[in-house]
Amino acid sequence: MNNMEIRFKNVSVSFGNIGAISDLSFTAPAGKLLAVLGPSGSGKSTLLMLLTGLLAPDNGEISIGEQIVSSGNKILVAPRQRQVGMVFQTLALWPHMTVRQNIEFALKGKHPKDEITARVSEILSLTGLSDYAKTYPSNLSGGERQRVALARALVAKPEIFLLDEPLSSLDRHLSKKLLPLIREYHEKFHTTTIYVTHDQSEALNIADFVMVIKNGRMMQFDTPENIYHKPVNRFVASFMGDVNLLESKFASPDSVKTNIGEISCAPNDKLSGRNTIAVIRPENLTINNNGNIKGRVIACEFKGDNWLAEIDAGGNAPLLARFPDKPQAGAAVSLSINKPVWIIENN
Amino acid sequence: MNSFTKLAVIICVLVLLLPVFYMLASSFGGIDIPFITEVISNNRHWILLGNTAFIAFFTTLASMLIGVTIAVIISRFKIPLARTMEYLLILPILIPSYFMAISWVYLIGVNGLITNYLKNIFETPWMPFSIYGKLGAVFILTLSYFPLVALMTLSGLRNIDFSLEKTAWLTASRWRAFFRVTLPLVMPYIIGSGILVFILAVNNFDVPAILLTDVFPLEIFYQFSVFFRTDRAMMFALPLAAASIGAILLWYAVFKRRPLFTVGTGWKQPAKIELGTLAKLVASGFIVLMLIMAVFLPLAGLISNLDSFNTIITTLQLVSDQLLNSLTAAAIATLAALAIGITAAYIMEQPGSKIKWFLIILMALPLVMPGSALGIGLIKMYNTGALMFIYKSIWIIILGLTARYMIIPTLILNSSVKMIDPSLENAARVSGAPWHRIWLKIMIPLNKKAIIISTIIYFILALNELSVTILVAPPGFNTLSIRIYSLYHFNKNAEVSAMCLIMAFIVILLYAVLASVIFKDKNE
Repeated sequence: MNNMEIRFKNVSVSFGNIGAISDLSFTAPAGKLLAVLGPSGSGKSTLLMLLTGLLAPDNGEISIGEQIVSSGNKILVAPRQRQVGMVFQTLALWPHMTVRQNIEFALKGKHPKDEITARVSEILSLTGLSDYAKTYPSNLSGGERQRVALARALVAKPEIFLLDEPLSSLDRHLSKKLLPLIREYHEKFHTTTIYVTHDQSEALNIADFVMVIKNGRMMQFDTPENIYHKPVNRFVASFMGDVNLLESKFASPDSVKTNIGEISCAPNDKLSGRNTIAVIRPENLTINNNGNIKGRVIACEFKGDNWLAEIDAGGNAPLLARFPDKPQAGAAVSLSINKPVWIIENN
Repeated sequence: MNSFTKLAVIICVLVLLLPVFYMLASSFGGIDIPFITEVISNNRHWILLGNTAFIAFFTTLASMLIGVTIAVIISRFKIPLARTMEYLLILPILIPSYFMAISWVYLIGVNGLITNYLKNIFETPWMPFSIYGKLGAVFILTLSYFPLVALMTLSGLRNIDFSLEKTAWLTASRWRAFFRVTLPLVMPYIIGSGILVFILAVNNFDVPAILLTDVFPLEIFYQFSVFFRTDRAMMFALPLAAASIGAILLWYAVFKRRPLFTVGTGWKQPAKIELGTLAKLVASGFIVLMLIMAVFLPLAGLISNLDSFNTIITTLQLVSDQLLNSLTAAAIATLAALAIGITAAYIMEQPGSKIKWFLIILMALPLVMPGSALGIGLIKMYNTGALMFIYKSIWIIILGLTARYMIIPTLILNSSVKMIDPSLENAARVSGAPWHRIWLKIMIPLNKKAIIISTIIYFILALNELSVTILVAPPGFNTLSIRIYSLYHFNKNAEVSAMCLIMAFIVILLYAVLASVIFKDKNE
């Protein structure tokens, strides 16, 4: 199977006066899994429609491998010729066809009968659906339907594989079970994959790279670790989970002044002298009797394996910190920061 | 579907509409001051206008009163055999109105079965009622059209989120909640059905013709086929076309953002209200009475007119050519209209499509104007030069039938296409399948039910059509409906009854298939 790079170059598309994608440029490396992460209405699904050729861009250029598939407002390669496998948000299983018929649809008329039978049987076995070949989608559970959708998209051995919020309709328990399965298929086939989701944990768990988008614009394209720990702006920092964003200014190359005191940070020459924000994840604040951040617990929220507490440390907004046990409201606490904080520009 | 196919369908629609445009253009072209003076000063024209308006207005009013009452009874009250009654309501729509008129003439006409019976009992030649005239036309047309209002209102009632009414129950009585919340929500459906009935009634030609009432649609027919005054015929079509187009625009305003037809509904329906024995008897008795008058009495009237069962056999042999013509023309027109309908329905639902209502209004034109006017348009278009071969063959009937009803499958299929998740088609498109395979394996099977329903309804309507075919049928290509109409005027009562019964047999057979498809859907 070929590993194809996907390239978007200054792509824009709008619906009426609303810009769905604005001047978007990125390259999804061949054979890697890229998660596209963003809130509802950010343009994630539109991006996939552009890639499949079901939608033409207004401007820009989209390439798959060496081939330009859409350019300007023209679709140069029709959807059916793009060798794309896709799992839709609604799964889009054809209700009048059995599991086998759903899966073999993409192969019929293109391959000999024996080969179709062999490939369908192989994918049925791989996805654990062999016993359901003659079953109609309406008689399957949510997880089984999900696997049929995956099998149907993978059976044609696509050059790129697209997943549009494939787990959004499933409960958390089932999503957690299916996510590793998708990663496993990716490891097996090494097809360039784009996984669209609004769920941060899904994106961080599954992806080689994450692209965060907002209002059709790319906010950051990076590894999951960097997206989480080294966000480029306030939106990415907040969108990736609970965070303390403190107004700051460099006091020295490796420390910033904030309203809870001076704290050490990762050096960043470009931001020296500018108004900045210190990004501190709650887990980077440790309870420490000798800690130099003093405060009182205002409120707390149970998170399962920890308690997330709001602490009045004298700043403009309460600090968020995690506690192993429930802290008492009003209790005095001392905290320290366990690693140099990440600094972003305040704009 | 590729752009070529879409373009081809749009061209087909325009070709089918050419006679309509031609007719409209010709009628405007012939208007001058002397003509307007003559029209205004001629008392007969005012009588025609009065009759036409009277029939259209009172048919609409009566159909709405009866139809809405029946819809509310069926949807909200527990009455026996409600489902069966609902499905029987489709029958009067499928039975042609001329069939109903002829049957009722045989029942309560001058020498009708009931008339003679009453004359014998009361020993008087005078009867207090007459089926002839304006009131008779209103009576027959109401029997034909009230089910349209009932079914469209029912569809509306089922399309409303019942929780809206339930919320009102918290602060108001059930009746108040129904009248203040549900009824206003369902009003577009009621008004829409009323407008549809008005359009059909104002353009109806065959019922006034049988019941000897002068109206504009009949005048168009006479001016063209008796006095050979095409210009006058066209100009008499103008007020009707104006009234119909006005009504469509009103419909557009009412229905712009709502589905016109629904195939299945998603909302949970309210639990039906229990009625006392007397109320139940009155409610169900009313619906049964309407069904008896619209379906069973007309059939009984026709059967009583037969000398023996053999009359049907001999008549069948006699009209086999006309029956074959009817079946052939209806079958080809149905196929053509379905192909156009499904493509147009699909085009209308494309993301960003701006031509939906434009297409609907265009495609509705041939249905909402007098059939005789469409017939004249067809003759004028094709009775010339290289197109003469169409005029001289069954193809002119097929073109007329295709144009006349093409909006109906389009609307039914549009409602079905709209309910299908677009990702089902997108999944097929990205799978690499060519468009014809996507249509054969995905789109057509997914819309199967709507296609079957459209096919049967269209075939029946095409089979029954009279007002266009009576004008355009070339010599040797008469249809069964034309034969019925002609023989009726020669008082061949037994043969006419036999032919009507043959037609009714075909309609009921097809209706049984239709009902089984819809029943299956409900059971699922």
